[in-house]
Amino acid sequence: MIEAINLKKYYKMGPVVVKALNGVNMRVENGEFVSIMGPSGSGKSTLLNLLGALDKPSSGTVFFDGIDLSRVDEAVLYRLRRKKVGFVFQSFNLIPTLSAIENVLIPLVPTGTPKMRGYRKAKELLETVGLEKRMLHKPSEMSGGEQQRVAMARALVNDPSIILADEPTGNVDSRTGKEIMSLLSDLNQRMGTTLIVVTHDPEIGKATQRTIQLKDGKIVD
Amino acid sequence: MLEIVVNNVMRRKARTILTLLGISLGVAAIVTLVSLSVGLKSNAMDIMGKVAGDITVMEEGQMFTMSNLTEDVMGQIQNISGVQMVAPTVMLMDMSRGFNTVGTDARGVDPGLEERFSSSSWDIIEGRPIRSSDSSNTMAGVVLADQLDLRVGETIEYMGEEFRVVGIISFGNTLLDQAYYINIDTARRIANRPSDYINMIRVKVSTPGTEEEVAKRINLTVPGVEARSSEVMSEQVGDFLDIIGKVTWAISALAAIVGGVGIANTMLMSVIERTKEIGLLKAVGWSNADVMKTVLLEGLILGFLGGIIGVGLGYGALVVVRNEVPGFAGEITVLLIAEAMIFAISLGVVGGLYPAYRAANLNPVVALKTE
Repeated sequence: MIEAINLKKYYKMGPVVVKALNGVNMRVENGEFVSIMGPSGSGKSTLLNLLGALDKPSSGTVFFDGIDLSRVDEAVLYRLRRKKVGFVFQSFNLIPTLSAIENVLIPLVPTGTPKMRGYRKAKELLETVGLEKRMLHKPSEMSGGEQQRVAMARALVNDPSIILADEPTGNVDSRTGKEIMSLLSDLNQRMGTTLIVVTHDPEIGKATQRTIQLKDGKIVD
Repeated sequence: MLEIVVNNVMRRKARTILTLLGISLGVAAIVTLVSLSVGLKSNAMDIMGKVAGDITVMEEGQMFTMSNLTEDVMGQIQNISGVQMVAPTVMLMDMSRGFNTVGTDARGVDPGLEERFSSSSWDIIEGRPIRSSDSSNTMAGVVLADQLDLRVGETIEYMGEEFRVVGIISFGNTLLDQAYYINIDTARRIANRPSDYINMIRVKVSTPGTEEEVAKRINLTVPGVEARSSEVMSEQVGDFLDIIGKVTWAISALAAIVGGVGIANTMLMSVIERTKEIGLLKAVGWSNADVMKTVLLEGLILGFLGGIIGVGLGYGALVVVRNEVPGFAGEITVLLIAEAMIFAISLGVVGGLYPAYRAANLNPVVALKTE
């Protein structure tokens, strides 16, 4: 379970204070598939980063499986990300010099997972996302859809309890976007992984169990 | 992790090669210059042991060609108890040939006396020693003869005089074997000095082990001279060469540090270029220490490779010097290789410290937004 209580995130840009999040209260239960929607600049990505222990709030609290993220140090945050969170980004964020399977293995590198076990797991995940024939290809040799599927396999390799996807279909065509959403939905149903997807696409919003609408840093619905 | 690090090092090959070149030239300078200075010391100590006899006497406060003594002084030393034999030398340096050039040094010796004094130190390779009547004959050291391709019977020119080579001799050390040996009277005439002029007196003691004692006795008895046992002289020369060795280390270390700055620069560029990737690593759970480790490992690999290339280049340079200067004792020891490698690796790691710190402390949210 993940819960935000009166979550605020302010940025100082010169003399101006930008209120990216201004008092967000929300709760996502384990196994839910939730979308966060809203116009550009509404604070969607900021909220996702705070829920995923990637950033700290200016005030307010995020409880992640009972842990108050505002009260823990950096080491707890990165361990939480390492063990319980999987990120999927709009721009894939694959490392260009590594092959698909090596990219999938990245989250396991600091965990001390035995090499063969890691490779088996990464191979299985690439098969799951339909890339069994592209494992040794570099990102530059793959389409946008394939790269995003590699990024999804990477997000799953540490068996996370929650996947946070920031505009996962934003850089792919609509057909590939549907495939990616179908994969995410399947993951949620088969494995019970909690999914929070940031999107501006109402179609994707409809495909999720619940939609949270953000505007000007606040939940409007 | 190692695959990622190696990938990062190889990502920009040209830049990596240039960085390696920077550090390897520094390491090569260390290896070459230090081995040369060690060789120089070894040669010098060898010479000290052999040239000087047991005790060397020069004018107080003066060295070699600057020293000004007379045969009268030699006579006084001969009469001191514990002295078995003395031999005079007039050292000449033909500076018109340039410093440290083949054929610059000549030593004027008393032919009859020298044969008795040095018979246990030299080998006659070809021909015969010079005699008292040989005013325009010379013996050439074997290294000199090799370098100038001299044969017995040939005529050479030294400081405007012509000499016929009558013998080729070997003392078994480079400096002595790089000199001409001529009659002391001829040397005095060339140097435009009086007929009793000497600048160095070599002394053999009657009983081995009494060198220092006899040297002290000479210093106490004969005014205006400075007698040094070869052991003390060796120590002094050794100390001086140690200083040269340390200065050599410092200069070449400076060159290597410049290479280290190159590593720091390259890695900083590399970290800046990879800001987004580092953000990703942190997002998926890499700790600051994990990120730091990868960057430091890159520095270590660069330092290690630079060290290996540098040792290779240094060895190559030493081989060239050895070929050019036969008998030169410079060599690369395992200790020197170990020191140079540790230095290079340390430079790589130290050069990587700031880039690693910078990478480790990137805010992942900001880093992921970087384009």
